Amino acid sequence: MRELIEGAALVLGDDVNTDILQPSRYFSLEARRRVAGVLAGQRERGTLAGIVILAGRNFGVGSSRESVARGMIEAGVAAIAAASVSRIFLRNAVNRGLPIAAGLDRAACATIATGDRVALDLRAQRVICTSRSVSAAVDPLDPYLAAVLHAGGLLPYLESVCDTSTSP
Amino acid sequence: MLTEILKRHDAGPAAGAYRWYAPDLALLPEYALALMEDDIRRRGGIALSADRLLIAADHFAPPATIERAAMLRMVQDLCATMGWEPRLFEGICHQLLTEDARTLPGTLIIGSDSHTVTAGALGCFAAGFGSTDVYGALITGKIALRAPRLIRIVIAGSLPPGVMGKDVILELFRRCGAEKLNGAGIEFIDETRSRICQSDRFAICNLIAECGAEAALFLPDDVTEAFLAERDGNAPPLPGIAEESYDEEIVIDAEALEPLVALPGSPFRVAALRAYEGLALHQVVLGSCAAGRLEDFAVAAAILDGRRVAPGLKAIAIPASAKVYLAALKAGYIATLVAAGVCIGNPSCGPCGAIDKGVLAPGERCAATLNRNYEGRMGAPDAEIYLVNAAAAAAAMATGKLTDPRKLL
Repeated sequence: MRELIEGAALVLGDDVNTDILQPSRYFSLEARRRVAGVLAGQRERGTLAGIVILAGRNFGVGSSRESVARGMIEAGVAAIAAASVSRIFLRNAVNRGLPIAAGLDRAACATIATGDRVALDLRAQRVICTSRSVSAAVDPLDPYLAAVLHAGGLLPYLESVCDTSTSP
Repeated sequence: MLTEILKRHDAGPAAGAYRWYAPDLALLPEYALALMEDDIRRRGGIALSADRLLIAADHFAPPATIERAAMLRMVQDLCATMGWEPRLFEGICHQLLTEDARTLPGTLIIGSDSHTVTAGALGCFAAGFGSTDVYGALITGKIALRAPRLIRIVIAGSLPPGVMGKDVILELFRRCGAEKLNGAGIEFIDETRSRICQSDRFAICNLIAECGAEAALFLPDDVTEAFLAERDGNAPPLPGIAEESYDEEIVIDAEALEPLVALPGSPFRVAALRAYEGLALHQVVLGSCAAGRLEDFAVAAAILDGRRVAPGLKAIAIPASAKVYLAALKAGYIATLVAAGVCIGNPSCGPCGAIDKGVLAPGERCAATLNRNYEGRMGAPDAEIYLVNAAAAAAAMATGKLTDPRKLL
């Protein structure tokens, strides 16, 4: 996994819940349907490929259905940084290999607008927007979550640390 | 107690603040199992034995679209191959978990649905996850968790009439906001004189999913013991409760509570129900894993006995499980509700999650006993959902408006 993820910012508010991120009727085993549902309720959805989501408190609150994180990855969402991330969504994103950071200093990045070029630097733990002269801090991921993300998700991580080959 | 349960299930260090823990039981609703189907088939076997699984078809129960029917078919075929026995349309998986003799104080339960935490009301460490986390546990027999900072919540006083578990948890949300509870371990201690019934304890733990807490439980006591004795025919000795050091203590005085409402958009937008009395409704739903238990039906039947559903109102009641349904039939509650004009749905998630019958049209306003009222949760994004307790739902069925249930008791 890359440590520096660049893309166009999509600025969202507080409490962006899973029903907004992907309404439940888009729960599907088909990637095409999951992608169609990402932010389907938002009026100004725009393109999702290569975007870096910047959000407020309690991002991803709500359902555990993993079709949300999977759909966001399949839609091309590059990374997420939020003031705080709800427990299950954080695990789902990391488990599927979607770069995510909590603890975003919202005050420091208040001037960033949707469409601005931004970068999430996981190593330096910052969100950077050169055109707005912004460098906002994010929290470091716990070493476990960082290791899972670095491996590309939970399944490759488990293969590297556990014996997952034995059948019962 | 949460820390003690983790210690008893410890399976070694993972990385950082996380350690591996071996769960006693994994809860798998059909939709989440569908996401793991190809991985499980490819492997051909998993580490957790069938007696450690509880699989339920409750979201697509029965399926309303071809796509969902195909997913359920796939899951049923997988179960047949693996020798697993899914519980078909017997109720919401979280309710089935509370009715299951394996759900005991001190157990570690994981589930691939956020509301798994409901079972914490029996003194378990019960937590919800996405499909990949649970799949990881199925193939390795363990899951990585972080021992949470602990918040102790003492409920004191006595619950006044018309006030239920839903109001206790909404009061906690009103005071704390979502931020403070995310990632915490919450332990409820019932010090009320009236005792909080097991059904209300399930309602309280159920809504904990909305604040992102790691897990929440009620410290087992006489109420737990009586519930287990009735459920299992015998009550196992309650596990000794180790002294925990809490980061914080919050006291909720039940005496001071009144029926509350969560306003459309978030369970954290809490207000006194009486401040919104008279707001006209298009629909009222009693059900979901947050309510829909026998005690909820008892309260609703008491209010609707001899009354009629308001003209034009869509009134729906859904028992949380087949067991609840049968008990409510025997007790006459279902007959009372049907006579009043309530439509009875089959045990399932129903319109919660906009999955099944009872979804809302654009612009409609609904009062419901559910746990979520985010935009679009029950259908149209601009439909309004007001979260209330079962008594308030029944009162609203009778009047067609948001109503303080204390007036109809």
